[in-house]
Amino acid sequence: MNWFPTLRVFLSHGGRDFFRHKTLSLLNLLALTVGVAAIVAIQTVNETALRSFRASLDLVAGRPDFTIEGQGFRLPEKLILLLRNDPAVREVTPTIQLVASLPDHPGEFLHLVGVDPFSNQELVTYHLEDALRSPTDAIAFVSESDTIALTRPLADRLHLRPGDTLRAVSAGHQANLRVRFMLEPSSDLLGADDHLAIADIATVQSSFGLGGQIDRIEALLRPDASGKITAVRSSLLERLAPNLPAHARAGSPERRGQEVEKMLGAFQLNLTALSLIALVVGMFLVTNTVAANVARRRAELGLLRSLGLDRRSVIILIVGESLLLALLGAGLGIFLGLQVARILLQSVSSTVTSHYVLLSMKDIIVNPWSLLGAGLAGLLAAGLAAWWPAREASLVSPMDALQPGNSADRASSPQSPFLRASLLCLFFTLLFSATALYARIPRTGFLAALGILLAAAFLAPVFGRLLGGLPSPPIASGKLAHSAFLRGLHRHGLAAAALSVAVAMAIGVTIMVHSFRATVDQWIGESIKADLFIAPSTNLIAGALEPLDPQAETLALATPGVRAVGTYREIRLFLNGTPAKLAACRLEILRAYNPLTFLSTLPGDPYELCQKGDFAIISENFARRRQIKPGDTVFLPTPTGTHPLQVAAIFRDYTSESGLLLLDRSTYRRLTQDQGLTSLAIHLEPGISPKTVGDSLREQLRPRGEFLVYSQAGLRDEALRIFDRSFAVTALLRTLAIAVAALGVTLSLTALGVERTREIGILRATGASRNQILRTIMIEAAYLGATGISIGLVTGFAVALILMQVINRAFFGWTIDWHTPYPSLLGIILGMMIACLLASLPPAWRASRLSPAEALRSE
Amino acid sequence: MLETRDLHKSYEAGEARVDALRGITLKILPGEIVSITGPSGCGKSTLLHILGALDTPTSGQAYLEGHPLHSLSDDKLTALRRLKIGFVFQFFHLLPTLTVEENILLPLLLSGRVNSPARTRARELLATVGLSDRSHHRPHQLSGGQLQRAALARALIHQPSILLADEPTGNLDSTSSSMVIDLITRLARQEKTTVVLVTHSEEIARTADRRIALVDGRIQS
Ligand SMILES: Nc1ncnc2c1ncn2[C@@H]1O[C@H](COP(=O)(O)OP(=O)(O)O)[C@@H](O)[C@H]1O
Ligand SMILES: [Mg+2]
Repeated sequence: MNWFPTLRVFLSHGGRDFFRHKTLSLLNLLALTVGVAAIVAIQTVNETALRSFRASLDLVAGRPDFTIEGQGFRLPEKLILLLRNDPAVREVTPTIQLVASLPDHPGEFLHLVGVDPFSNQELVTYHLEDALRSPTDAIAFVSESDTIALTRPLADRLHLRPGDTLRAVSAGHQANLRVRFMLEPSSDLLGADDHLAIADIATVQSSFGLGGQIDRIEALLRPDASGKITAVRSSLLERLAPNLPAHARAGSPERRGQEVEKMLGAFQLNLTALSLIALVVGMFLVTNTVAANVARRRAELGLLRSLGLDRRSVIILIVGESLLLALLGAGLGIFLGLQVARILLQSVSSTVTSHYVLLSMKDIIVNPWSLLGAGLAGLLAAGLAAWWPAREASLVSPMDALQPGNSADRASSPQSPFLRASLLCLFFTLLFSATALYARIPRTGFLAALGILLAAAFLAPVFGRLLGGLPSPPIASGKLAHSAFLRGLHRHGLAAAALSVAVAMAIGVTIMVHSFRATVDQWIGESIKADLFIAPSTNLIAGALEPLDPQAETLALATPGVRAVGTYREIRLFLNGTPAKLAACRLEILRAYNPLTFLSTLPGDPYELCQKGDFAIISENFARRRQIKPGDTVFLPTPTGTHPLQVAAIFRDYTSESGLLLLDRSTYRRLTQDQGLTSLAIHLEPGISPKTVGDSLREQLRPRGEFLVYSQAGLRDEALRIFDRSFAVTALLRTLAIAVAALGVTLSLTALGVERTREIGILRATGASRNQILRTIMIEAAYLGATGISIGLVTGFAVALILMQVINRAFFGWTIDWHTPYPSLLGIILGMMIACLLASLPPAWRASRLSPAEALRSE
Repeated sequence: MLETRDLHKSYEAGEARVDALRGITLKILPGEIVSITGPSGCGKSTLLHILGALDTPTSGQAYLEGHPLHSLSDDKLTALRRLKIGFVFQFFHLLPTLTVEENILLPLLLSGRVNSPARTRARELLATVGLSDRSHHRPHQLSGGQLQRAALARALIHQPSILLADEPTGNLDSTSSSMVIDLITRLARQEKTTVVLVTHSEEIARTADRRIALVDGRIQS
């Protein structure tokens, strides 16, 4: 049929309807907007983190065709020659990077990159400006052995003028660097911030005792006859392989990008899952409003039906109208989401920095595709959400629709389909939990969580009816609210479902985070026994893994009151293409002062095995993620070759998401030739005050650079602070979900308020006061809240179980002991109930202020 | 009993202004049954709403047993509705959530006066209007005539001094109509209730003690 004219009629009605019920329409719009905004915000933050992260690896060299970098350890300089002499290579340029502290400017640091300004012309991503002479004297940059280039903001902040010197410290080497050049990062240089500084590679090497070492080599290749480089690259790789050190990783920058993504993968997955939940909650709300819309316009639909509109067209019209609104919501959501992303950026940036690598994100990076994706997700959600009520509306017979009173008065919705759907979801939850854990498809863990949330959602109308079976409060408004709630279940069911999803998620996440925190806290208490800890300040400020001044160990050992000094070296690398943490410490100190709790060991003493031969101890999550047990072999690529290490024991550790491989210091040094330390753990004689020794160490270390000296409690606080910050975004999303759900309560009651205007008129005519109307609607909201919250509470425990036992195990392999945070849960329940009552205030107030005569006249 | 002086009511609908009542002065005595007739849109419902303390006039005065309806607060008006006024509407207006009996008891429920004498009275009224066997049914299970009889019982449960009926037979067939009108007049005489009855039907208007004809917001003399 030609339904275009009908469409026009319907849409113009819809348009008018929109303005007639402004609040309702705006709430609907808001629900969609918030859903889309959540996705956009999270996608954008993810995207920004990832792109900045990738870019930070290519900090000063643009888009090379080929790179070689050292994993965990630096590379020998001679590799440059190897590459330069290859016929396939057109240009080669090396870099070296370090993070240096600035003893004269506490709290500041340099992210110093050594470059070769002659070979990097084609890849350069910054512009140097000679502050002393114009035009820029590039020769001076190389020939003066102490010249560096700073960004202007940092130079201004440190009050440095051209020609001034800057004292920088790294791994115990002090250098006086002369500021001569100003650095102007090109606009597409991501991942760099003010702290970026550039010097000639030889300057960096000689100033900080790194002669002959580089971090990376970037190369441009000559394309083959067909103009491609893929084949050229693989043949080059083959030629180079025999001459590359074991820890070198060579290949295309894209491949490295993918590996890098793995490091952030879990973090991103977490956020994405949360944003999807926001969309699910938003979808419930849309369904709710569309259903309300349809109910309100039954007569109109009946009329159109009687004038010859067929069923399919009814569906198309309703879904189309909802999509039109969704289009507006998606647009607003994208805009709002980008604003939220800007706000989140800081928190995410510091989380990534403390867990993974130094990451600087100046502004959000917008990917038009992910915006489009989020917009489409919103449209899809709105379309899906509208489909169900639209179908229902299409089933209304023309006669039926034209009769006064609405369908819900006549039919009470059947319960069994909901119950069946709920059980089905539960079944899928179990299934996906199993696939996540046993079939090792971790991502299905999120489907399991989604399943349990949907199971709760389907249960909402059923439980609402159960709750309605209880006697009503013995006052007039209580009785009225009770019967209104029961009859309004067709609408409230959805709001209660959204509510239960939000509450379940909030409670699940709260229990998980609390349990995790309590577990970590307890573990810290058991496993951190030293009295004082020393680390370079840059490692905290900039998330770096710079080596400590070796003098610090000597100084500590010589300090009166010190009984023993444990050392700790930490390296991040890839093992079998998966990120891991390699650590080395003096196991004899650990054994004597701070014994590990082993979960399983080889026969014999694991400490002795590790001190004598090529053995390692691994963390529980390392073992779980890689399915390794004592006696198995792990291959460790180092500058001296790949070394097989036999696993001597497994212990519990919460310091690394990717898993920890622990060696004795002697083994580590023998295999890697790396003498560096990352931090010290100092054990004191009994009765000696940590504060006194700490102060004395600080005093002795001051001239040597900037150090952090923690007490035991200080370290614990710092660890928990990082922990809390990591979950800050989670907390924000939790709040968002609750806000969206509360919005659902307002929406549901507003929609019902519109539907029931005449009933309110009748009540007023039969003697109901304004307060009675207000109270009735608020009690109805309380019924609604109680339904959603009860289901949400129970489901929340199941969600927590899935988060800890399925998702966590599948992705991270931590052991999290269950701790129920009763006060927080009580807070969520009360907060949610208050939110429901507050959310009911606007519609309740509106209803109570209706003029009785006007209300009676409404249709 | 009921008295109005120069009652005006106008609605502002954007630019347009509708004068629904343009100076109504009338007096209705206790126990009187008065019919109001007039063409659609002449202001009958508006007048009834003001008399029933549901709406307030734009100007002029209205008194119910001496209470100035034009100047009372919403709470006072509510109190008057609870105690003195009963309504019957064209579209019955029973609450779909409540059973017939609960609907009838609604005015007492709202004023917190549901007790066993009240329940007895509800049962008696149900019997009088012929709905004893329907007391636990929902409104959607009743026919139009039955609904209107239930609405009448609701309007009278609290023994109001005045019953206001706005086209109570407008949606009924003739048999049901005469049944409802018979009940209204019989019960009103029995309980000495004043009745104001808006109707289109000449026949029904004739059953009243007195007849007021409205045209265009004014009383036709
Ligand atoms: N809320 C309102 N806004 C604007 N005009 C109204 C409103 N209510 C009633 N009217 C107008 O007031 C006049 C009288 O209405 P009403 O009292 O319902 O008439 P009757 O009951 O006699 O048919 C009509 O012209 C009607 O259109
Ligand atoms: Mg009328």
